[in-house]
Amino acid sequence: MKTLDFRKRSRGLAIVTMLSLGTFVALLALAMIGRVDTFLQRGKRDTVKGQARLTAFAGLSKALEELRADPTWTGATDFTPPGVPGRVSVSIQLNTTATPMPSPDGVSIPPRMILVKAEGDNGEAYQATVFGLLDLSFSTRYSRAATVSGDLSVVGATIDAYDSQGEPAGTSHREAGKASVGAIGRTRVVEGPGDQEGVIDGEVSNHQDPGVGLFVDALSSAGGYDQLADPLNPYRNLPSSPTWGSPGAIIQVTGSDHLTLSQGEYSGLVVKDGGLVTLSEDGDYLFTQGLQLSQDARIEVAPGVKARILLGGTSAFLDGAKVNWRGRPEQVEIVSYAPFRVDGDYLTLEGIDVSGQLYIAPNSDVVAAVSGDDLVGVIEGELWGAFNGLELKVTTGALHYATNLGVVGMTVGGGAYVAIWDGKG
Amino acid sequence: MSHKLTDFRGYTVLECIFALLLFALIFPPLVSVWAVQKRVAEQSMRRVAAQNIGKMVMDEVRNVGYAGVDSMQARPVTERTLELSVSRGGPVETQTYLWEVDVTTPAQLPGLYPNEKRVSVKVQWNESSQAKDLTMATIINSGI
Repeated sequence: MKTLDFRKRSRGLAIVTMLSLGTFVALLALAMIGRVDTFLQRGKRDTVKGQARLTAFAGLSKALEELRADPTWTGATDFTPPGVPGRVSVSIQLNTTATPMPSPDGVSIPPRMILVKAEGDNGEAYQATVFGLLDLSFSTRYSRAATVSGDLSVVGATIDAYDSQGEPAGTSHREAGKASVGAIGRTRVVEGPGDQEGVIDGEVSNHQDPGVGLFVDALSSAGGYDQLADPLNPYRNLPSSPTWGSPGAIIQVTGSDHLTLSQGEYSGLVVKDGGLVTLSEDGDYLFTQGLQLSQDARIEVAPGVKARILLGGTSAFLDGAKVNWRGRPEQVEIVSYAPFRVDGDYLTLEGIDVSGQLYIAPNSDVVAAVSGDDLVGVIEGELWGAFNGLELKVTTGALHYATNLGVVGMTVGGGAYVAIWDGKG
Repeated sequence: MSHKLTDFRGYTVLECIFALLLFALIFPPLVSVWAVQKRVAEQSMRRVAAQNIGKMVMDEVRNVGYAGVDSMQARPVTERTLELSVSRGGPVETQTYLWEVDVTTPAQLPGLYPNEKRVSVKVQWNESSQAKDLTMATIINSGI
C-alpha cells in the first residue's frame, strides 16, 4: 500500500519537474530579452541624450548672436539650428540689478548677467537643458561692452548723449539730457543737466531717432583721447606700451625716394610727395615720434612679410596716403599709443579704391584712435580704439573702441560687432 | 503488483519523452537568445564607448573654442585614434576607435551666423568587419 501510494504520488513528477524547469527557463529567456532591450535602450538613450545636449548648446550660440543683433531679443521656440539634428527652444532672463537673482529654474543669475536657457532635443522624446550666462555685453571678452545694430547700445559707459529730435536726418544739435535711451524692456532719459555728460549705467539703446543714430561726444570730458592713454584692449593679449627710445632725427622720404626699412626702432618717419617706404622683413617697427604720411605717400610691405607698426607719437595718414596698398590686409597691424589721424587711404585690399575713407579690410587689425574731419569709415576687419568721423559703416567686421566717439551717421550691418568699453574693464 | 509496476514504468517513460520534447523545444531558442543578448550587449557597449569618445572630443572642441577648432580638424590620424581594451573574464579584446572633426563655416552652410562654426564629430569603429560610426554635431560661437 505504501508502495502504491508512492507510485501514485510519483506519477507526473517528471512532467511537473520539466514544466517547472521549462517555466524557469522561459522566464530566464524573457529576462535575457529584456536585458537585450535594456542594452539597446541604454546605448540609444546615451546617443540621444548627448546629441540633445549639443543641440541645446547650438541654441546658446543662436541666443548670443540674436542678442548681439537685437538686445531686446527675448528668445525663440522650436527652431532647428543649421546643420544640427533636432530642435531647440531658447529663453532668456536678465539680471540688471547689482545683486544675484534666482531664476525659476533655480539658477542664480549673477549681477548684470543674462541667463540663457536652451532646451534641445533630437526628435526622439529626450530633452536636454543647458544654461549659459552671458555678460550683459553679450560677449565674455569684454566686461563692459555694447552692441550696435542700427541703433547704438551702450553698457556701463560714460557718454554724452545727443539728440536730433525733429531734425532732418543727417543733422543734429545737442539736446543734452533729452535723449531718450531705451533699455531692454523699458525706456529712460539720460540724466544730465545742460551740457554735462550723462552717465549711463545699464543696458541702453537709442530708439529716439531711428536712422540717425545716437550721438556721442568724442570730445567730452569723459573720453576722447584722454581715455586712450592706453588704448589697447586689455583682453587683446597685446604687449603694453613698449619702451620707447629717445627722440632723435626724423627720417624724411619725399618725391621719388624709396626707403627700405628692416624691423627695429626708429625715431620718426615722415613720408610725403609720393615717397615710398618698404617694410622688408617680419617684426615690429617702432616709431617713437610717430608716423606722418601725406600727399600720396606710400608704405608697402614686401611680399609675404608680416609687419607690426607701433606708433609712440602723434601720427597722421593724410591726403591720399596709402598703407599696404598692394598687399594682403593681414600683412600689417598698426598699434597706436598716441592720437592717430586718418584722412586718406588706409589698409586697402587688392586695389579697391577707397579714397577719402578709412577702410579696414577683412582680416585687418588696427589698434588706434582714429579721427578725421570728414572721415568716412568702412570697417570689414577689426578696429580697436576710438573712431571720430563723419560716418561709420561697420559691415562684416568689428569695432572695439573706447568710450567716446563722434559719428553723425552710423550703420552696422548684420553680423558686425561694435563694442565700447569705458576703460574700467 | 507486477502489473502496477509496469504501469508506473509506462507513465515515467511517457513523461520523460514529453519532458525531453519540451526541453528540445525550449532550449534552442534560449541558446539563440543568449547569443543574441551577448552580441547586442557587446554592440551596445561599443556604441556607448563611441558615444563617450565623441563627448570627450566635443568637450575638447568647446575648450579650444571657435579659434582653435580648426586645428582639431587638421590633426593626424595617430592623434585621433583610440584603443579600448576590455576583458570580461576571458581574453582581452581591443577595440580601435577613430574620430574626426569636421568644421563648417557660414560660407559653406547658409543659416550660420558669421561668428559661428558648425562642428561635427564622427567616431568610427569596426564590428565583425563592418564599419560603424556615430556622428554628433553642434554649433560653437566666437563669443562663448
